[in-house]
Amino acid sequence: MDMSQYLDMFLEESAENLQYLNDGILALEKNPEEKETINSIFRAAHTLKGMAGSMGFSDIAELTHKMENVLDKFRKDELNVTSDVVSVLFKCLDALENMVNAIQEGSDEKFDTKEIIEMLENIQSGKPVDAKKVSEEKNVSGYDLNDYDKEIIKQAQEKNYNVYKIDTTLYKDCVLKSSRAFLVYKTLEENGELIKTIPSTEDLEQENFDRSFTIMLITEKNSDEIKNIVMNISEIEKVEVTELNIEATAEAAPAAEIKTQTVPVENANVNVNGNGNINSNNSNVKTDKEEDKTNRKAHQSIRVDLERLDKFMNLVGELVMHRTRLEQISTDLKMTELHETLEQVGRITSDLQDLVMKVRMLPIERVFNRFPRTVRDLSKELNKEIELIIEGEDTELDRTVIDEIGEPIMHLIRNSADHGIEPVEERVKKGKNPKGIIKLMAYQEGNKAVIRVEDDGKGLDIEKIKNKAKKLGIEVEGMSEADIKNLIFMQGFSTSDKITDVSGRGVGMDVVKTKISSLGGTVDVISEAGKGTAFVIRLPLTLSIIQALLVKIGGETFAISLGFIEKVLTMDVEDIKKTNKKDVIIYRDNIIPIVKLSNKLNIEDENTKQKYIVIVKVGEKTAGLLVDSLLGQQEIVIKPMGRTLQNLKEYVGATILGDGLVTLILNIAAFV
Amino acid sequence: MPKVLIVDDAAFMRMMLKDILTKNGFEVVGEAPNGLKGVEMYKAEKPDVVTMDITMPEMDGIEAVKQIKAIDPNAKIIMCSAMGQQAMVMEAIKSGARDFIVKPFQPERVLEALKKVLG
Repeated sequence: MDMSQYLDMFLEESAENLQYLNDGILALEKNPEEKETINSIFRAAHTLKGMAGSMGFSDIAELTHKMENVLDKFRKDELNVTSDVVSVLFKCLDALENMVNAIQEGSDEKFDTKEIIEMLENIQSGKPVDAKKVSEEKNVSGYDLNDYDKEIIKQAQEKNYNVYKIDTTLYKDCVLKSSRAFLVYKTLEENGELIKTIPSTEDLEQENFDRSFTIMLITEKNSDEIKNIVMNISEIEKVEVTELNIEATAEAAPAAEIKTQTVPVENANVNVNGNGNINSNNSNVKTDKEEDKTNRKAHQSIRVDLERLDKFMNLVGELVMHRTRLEQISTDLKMTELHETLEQVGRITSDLQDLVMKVRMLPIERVFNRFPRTVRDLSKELNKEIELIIEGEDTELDRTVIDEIGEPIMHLIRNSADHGIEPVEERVKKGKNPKGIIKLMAYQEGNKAVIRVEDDGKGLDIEKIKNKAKKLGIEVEGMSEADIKNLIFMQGFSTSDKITDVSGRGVGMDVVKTKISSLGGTVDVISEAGKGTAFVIRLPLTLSIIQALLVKIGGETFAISLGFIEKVLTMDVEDIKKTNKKDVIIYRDNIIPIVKLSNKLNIEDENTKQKYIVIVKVGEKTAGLLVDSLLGQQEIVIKPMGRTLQNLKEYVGATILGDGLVTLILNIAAFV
Repeated sequence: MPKVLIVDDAAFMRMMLKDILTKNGFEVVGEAPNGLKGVEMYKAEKPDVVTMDITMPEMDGIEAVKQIKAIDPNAKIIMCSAMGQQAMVMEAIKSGARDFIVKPFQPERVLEALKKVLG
């Protein structure tokens, strides 16, 4: 995982937290009894520790950890705030500040923190600590242990076994999470007895968890050993081993101490470079850093939780919705004064909407800038000469899209490198430049962002695709060449003779397509034999507010994004013809396939002769959707379907209309 | 230098893994194109760690893990899995595999797994 992109944020936030700590400790010295101050500086120290740990700056993390221990003593009234202690804390803060500055300047300077750590440790252990408090019972409530579990824990503790709560966090991009979790608890099971996992083992095995899970274990081993055991499994970001303790004789003690060992695994980002060196993450970040040392100066910006922006966007969306209603009412009432005011309100809401949309946008550079390295590695791996040309990297896209689009593009690039670009000899034989070119372009087209991945390789072999299609039992007769080429996006469709690890297992292209349609976009392939292949991804600029057409099918109302709609026709049902067992209409000499939405959605349609056909264009494909009636055009706010319903491919989400009616938004790409 | 045995039916994969490993201070002591050969070579070479593909002709990776484990209960085996092979990976773990890596391989992940298994 490349952490360098977070470096700016880390530096900014560290500086903030250090400042906060400085102020806080000063205040504390003046007013040692102020609990709130202690709590807040404790939190700041904790945040700093966590950040430094995740960034791989283990020396900062360690020092902060020691400081945190001392602060914790204040918090528990086990240590008095004296000016001596405060001086040590200040020294510690100075050291931290120096370390952070060194990172900011990109220097490799090492700081000797031993002395300060020693001082902190002395403070921490210097005072004779009330024995009762140390063995304070640990809080187990909230883990949902039943009496049986508790009884087991009690017995185990009586027999001097250790009982731990082990919180494991996997890498963000970990794949096969269920197997990874399985490996973790299987390994732990070999070292003790599992009491409980949260979520349950079934859920873990079915991947019903994000990337963290908790295991309760009875073991003879100590927490360090357990921690090491888990850490020795790959793709584990963090392990926390906490001692569980339920002494039956619990007094009503204050919220108890939980001894925690946080071990941010030194984000084992091993940088493999050509000359065979392995750089641990630590130095890796430093090299990255040196490259962009120049633009390190903190930007004038504040960080905002994406969730808040989402809420903001939603609210603006709802505002837009109600404005539309208000406008309708004012038109009906014919009140000029109201109308004028509303127009003003309308302009402002539009501006507001634009603004919040822009706030969420990021240049696609963030995604693109990792591909030069990919292509370089691929060309080495495949023994081909490949050059990557990137254009339009300043094109901006919604943050959500930016986060998700990397993987599909990566896939397309791998595909181009592996299947598209020919080996050098073959290129020379064909009279092509021995060096193959992959072009990665982004640009805006209307209200869509377009990303193209082009190569000048051998192009798609249409015969091969046809053969493969026949093997899979797909009738290719009567399909246009473009349609046949687009078959490669089907599940299990790979025409590659040999499966390489780079690509060709036939799982890729449909994953690409699924991912892109989940973002409301489309992907098409354009290819010319011998000249090359281009994949064209079209994505909506924003995901949250769209212009939509509301239609009725039977008694149900649905929304269709205007972005897909070409035109709307009224049609007699009798005008729908059948060719090849498929429904079509002829419109201006074009044959357009018809999709009966009522059939697809299992809705009884109205038995009327006059119907509407919404002509939609998804990428290069055109189709007509048959609906019963049209309700009009409206701006709608897309709300995601939620976890349970997210597998419904037919819908991109739902929206709430002005009158409170929940309406489903059709995923057009799923029907065409 | 830790000794590694690579078991994979695709020569391409073996080459790629070998590249990653030799560049980073591992010695590849053997390459086997299937589980059967893998078990044989394990006996002959006694490598420190084995990378084991799952789907292979003759004998698949899971069976090979079982057999190697029967010969040497302390054998360290890392499975090479593709996406969607959860069940098989779990099966391999049950049989005694120590870790797994997922294709397409990222060199850093491969190295991480090997180093961690070797402790």
